[in-house]
Amino acid sequence: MDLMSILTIIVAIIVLIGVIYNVFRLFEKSKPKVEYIVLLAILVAISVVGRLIGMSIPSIQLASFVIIMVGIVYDGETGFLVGILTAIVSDLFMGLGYWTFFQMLAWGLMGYTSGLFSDKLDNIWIRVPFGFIWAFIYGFITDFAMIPYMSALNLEGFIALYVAAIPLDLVHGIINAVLLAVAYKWFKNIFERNKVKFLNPVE
Amino acid sequence: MNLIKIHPSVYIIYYVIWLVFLFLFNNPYYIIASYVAILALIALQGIRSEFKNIFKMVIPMAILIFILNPLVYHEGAHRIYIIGSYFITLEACTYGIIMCATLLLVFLLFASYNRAVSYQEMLYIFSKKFSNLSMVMVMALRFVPLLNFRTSELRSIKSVDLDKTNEDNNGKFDSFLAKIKDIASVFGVVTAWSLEESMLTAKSMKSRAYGVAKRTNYLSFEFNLIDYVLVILMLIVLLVECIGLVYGYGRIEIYPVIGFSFNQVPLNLFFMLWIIFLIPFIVLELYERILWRNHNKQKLSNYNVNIVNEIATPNLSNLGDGSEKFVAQTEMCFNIDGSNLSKLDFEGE
Amino acid sequence: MSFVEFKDFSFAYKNAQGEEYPVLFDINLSVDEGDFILFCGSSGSGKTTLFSNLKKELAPVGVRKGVASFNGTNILELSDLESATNIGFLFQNPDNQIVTDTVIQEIAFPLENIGLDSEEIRNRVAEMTAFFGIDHILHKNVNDLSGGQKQLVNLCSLLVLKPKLLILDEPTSQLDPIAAYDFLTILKRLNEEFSITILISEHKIDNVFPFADKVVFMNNGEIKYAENPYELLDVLDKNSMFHHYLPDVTKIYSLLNNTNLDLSNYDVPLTIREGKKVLRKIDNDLNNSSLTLKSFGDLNGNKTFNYSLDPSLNKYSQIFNFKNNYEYGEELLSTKNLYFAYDKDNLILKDVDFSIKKGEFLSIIGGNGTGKSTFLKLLAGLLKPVKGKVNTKKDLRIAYLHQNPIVHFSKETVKEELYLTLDLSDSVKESILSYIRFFELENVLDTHPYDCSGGEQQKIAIVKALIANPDILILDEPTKGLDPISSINLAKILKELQNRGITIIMSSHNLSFVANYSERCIMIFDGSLQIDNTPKNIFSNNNFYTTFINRLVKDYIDDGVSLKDVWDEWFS
Repeated sequence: MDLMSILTIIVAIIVLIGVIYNVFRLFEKSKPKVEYIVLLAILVAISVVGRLIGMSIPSIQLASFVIIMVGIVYDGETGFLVGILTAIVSDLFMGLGYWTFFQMLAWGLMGYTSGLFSDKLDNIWIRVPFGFIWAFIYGFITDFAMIPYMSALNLEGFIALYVAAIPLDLVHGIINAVLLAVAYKWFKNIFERNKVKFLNPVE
Repeated sequence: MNLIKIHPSVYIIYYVIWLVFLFLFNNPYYIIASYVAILALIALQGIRSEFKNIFKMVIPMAILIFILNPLVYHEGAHRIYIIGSYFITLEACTYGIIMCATLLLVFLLFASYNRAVSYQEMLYIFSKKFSNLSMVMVMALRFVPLLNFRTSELRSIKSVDLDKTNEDNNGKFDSFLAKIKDIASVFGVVTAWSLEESMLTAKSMKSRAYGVAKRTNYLSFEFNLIDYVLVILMLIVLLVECIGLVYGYGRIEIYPVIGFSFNQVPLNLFFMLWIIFLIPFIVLELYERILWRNHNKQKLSNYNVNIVNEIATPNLSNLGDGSEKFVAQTEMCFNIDGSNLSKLDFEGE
Repeated sequence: MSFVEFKDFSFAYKNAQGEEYPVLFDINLSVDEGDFILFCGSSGSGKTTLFSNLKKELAPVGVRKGVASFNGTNILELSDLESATNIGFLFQNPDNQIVTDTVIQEIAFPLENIGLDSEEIRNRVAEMTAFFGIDHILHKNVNDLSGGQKQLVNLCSLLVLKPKLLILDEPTSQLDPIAAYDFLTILKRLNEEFSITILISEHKIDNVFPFADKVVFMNNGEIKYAENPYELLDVLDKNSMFHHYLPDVTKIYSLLNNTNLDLSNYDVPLTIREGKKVLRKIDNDLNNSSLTLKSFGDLNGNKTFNYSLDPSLNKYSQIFNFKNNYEYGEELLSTKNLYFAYDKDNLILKDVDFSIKKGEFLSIIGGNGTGKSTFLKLLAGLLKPVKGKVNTKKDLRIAYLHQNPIVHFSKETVKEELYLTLDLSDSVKESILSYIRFFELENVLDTHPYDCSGGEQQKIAIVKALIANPDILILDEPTKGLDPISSINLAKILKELQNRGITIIMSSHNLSFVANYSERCIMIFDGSLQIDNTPKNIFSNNNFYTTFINRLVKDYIDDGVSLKDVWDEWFS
């Protein structure tokens, strides 16, 4: 790949870091309550464990499902933060690298959009395709990490990488879809119960 | 490194610069130099167990890169025809090989980085700006093993629980679905259980003054002379190599014709500076090795002196290592202050 | 001015609809600096609410009347820093209080919060770790610590703030007895050597009673008694509920007190030492009238034995009956040459031969990490042995109860948890309902299982297991964290199930529970079943690892290991 393309990618990554930096600053400025910090931490841990569970059975991971559920039940911002932090923390176990940035972006957006469309996602016919499609978008975003190794920044390269990753994304998508169909209500109730307990404590 | 303290942010800057240049350089000599350096560094840092994982991740990706490049990109002067009019080019294959090498290098680089900078140090740096978020991460890191333990505990129990469903798995897809459902059912309980119990964590944090003042850190890292020297060196390298890149040093032409041969050893300022950039941490690691080795030699000779002492002056207070052990043992024999006995003198409830 | 004071303090929780749930009524209590105060009472008696009203950060939302004050200042008006540093609060579950992943980070955590510089933080941590001798675990991951070590780390993490008042809410309920005893010893040291005021609620009172300055008994949100433990006896003896909280030594004294022996010259004993002194004196007195305590048959008790099980237990006997698949005495389960290990260098069980017959009530005792839980899991078929086999009768049903009942729950109400919402035949439904009546769970059917008390959760889990009609019920540490009343309730339930033909296997650290209720006892040691006998035999042969009662009456009653034995020997 020529120098300009590489520089473009580097600039893109710097912009991405800038965006994430600002989101983090906003979070710090909002002076979050202790309960919210603990809630975030435990949700991140749950979703990281969801990712690690799959290590023994390849390409099964529950992290995306958890992040979507967090987005739906809590809100977009929480979903975004949980998504971003899931990428960082799970990579501390599995190997941190520059690819972490792309996972942060993918999972962050996954959580954020789930929060954005939370009222529509209650409908199973929207929810299941949403999870299924997001698996592919996730794959699309994280595959960016491979682009610098391609000969040029062109469409064929993207398509080829993407086609190669379809089997993995498909498994990911099916898991998302199945879980969003089967376990949605259960997890929603679990999260709702704790939403009340953590964020509006009336004892 | 234990004997030489380097500020973690120096490490971070170093590895980031190295990473960025790995993407920018494609001259095999630069890559080979990096390989030699990273392998030496890894050998000195002592990474073994992680290697298996790295290769597990890297090899499929490397193969993918190697195959996709010629398949997708058909520029280049030397065509190799496969079937009919379908061809790949030698240049694209070469590019694929170089990129595979870079990919592996990047993974090794991060393996080395993860060994050089502990996550506590990373969080220390992170917490300067983002104290709440770093707290979230610290807590998540503490919860993950706990939740993992709970998951495995539950998995063992669930195998006889009454809720057990889906005994009749016919097709492969069905058993795949059943597997997901099984995992989800365990996972849901862990989720509910952990969320429930973490209420107490919030209370415990509040009762220990979380949020009362601006948080500080029990760790403290100071910028020493060596840190300044290293940072200045890196900045010089960064600047010079950037200039070099503008003039094309460090990069080779691949398309349309490979403009490189191994005879062209880049004996120039830019390549020399790159090698200098690669060296410092290897030198420091080696220096630490030497310190340890000298120390071990010293210990051996000290030991001889002690033995001589022991024979010459049988005074307990003057003796070295060996006799202290003896004193400790004697004390243990007569240690009947009851702290161990009292443990037995106890019953439930 | 008292150090800590409650003045006409009442508290009520308020729910989302604005309804009030009163929890504390007219609390009046004053505590002097350096006092060690023990709070007793069943779960739900308001101890925790009382405690959390002493810590501003934890003060629950609700309606309060009266004042709770610390050093003359209303708790709610203390500054954040004052409240955080002066008052330390320790919770019962060691795992959930830890927020970071290494010991040093955890101990430094509160100091980082109040913004000390790293030099000062390290000084204080150094001091604390030197005092407790935990330097060697300083850089360990908290997940590698034992429960006792975790709780000690939690305590250190409070002490670095140099608190003047420590509030501990059942700090040892999740610990094994030895760790609990070590922990309490440290508290005693802190109280004696540094005059730190300590308020503690505890179920394992035998060890705490002797060094408490004051014992406070609570019931239904009121303080019933608050006295020096030596003066409590008279009042408590008349209260059928609180006497369960007395140390065993004191219970025996109270039995003797109601006979025609004159004990007015003796102090109330709280420790074995004091108790033995009293018995020796009585023995001497009897010797003067040519009698001995040892041969003394009947001390003419005029009191009923109210420590035994409630006889009104059989009220639902008609409705709930089990399919009795096997004959009494028939061997249900056996193992031969059983080996188990998680990794090959570390054998947990070696060459275990074991069998159990229908109708037995077996307890498994032994130190921590000796493999009790592993053995139970092997018997339940949850783990596969490395070598050997667990042989069971055909169609044998085994139910296993984890020590944390929560792991068995996955639904939103108790009703769903107990399958009542499913479409079941009337007969099945009726049998489930009969269990619910028997276990007195009618009131919690619509509650979330997580909102139930520990005792209730355990009952729900047992019912859940019973619905499967098990032949063998295996319980891992069912007595852990139960208050004395709940322990007795559990015993009632287990005995009743045993009477109905269910074979029971449980592990426990609670030796008096084992001695009182089970008929067979196995002690696991070094991977093998070291002793397999009746609890009576085991404990009367043991000198150290035995019940308080046995230690007290050893010289007078050969095989007296439980209160019942003493009663049978001396009073019936």
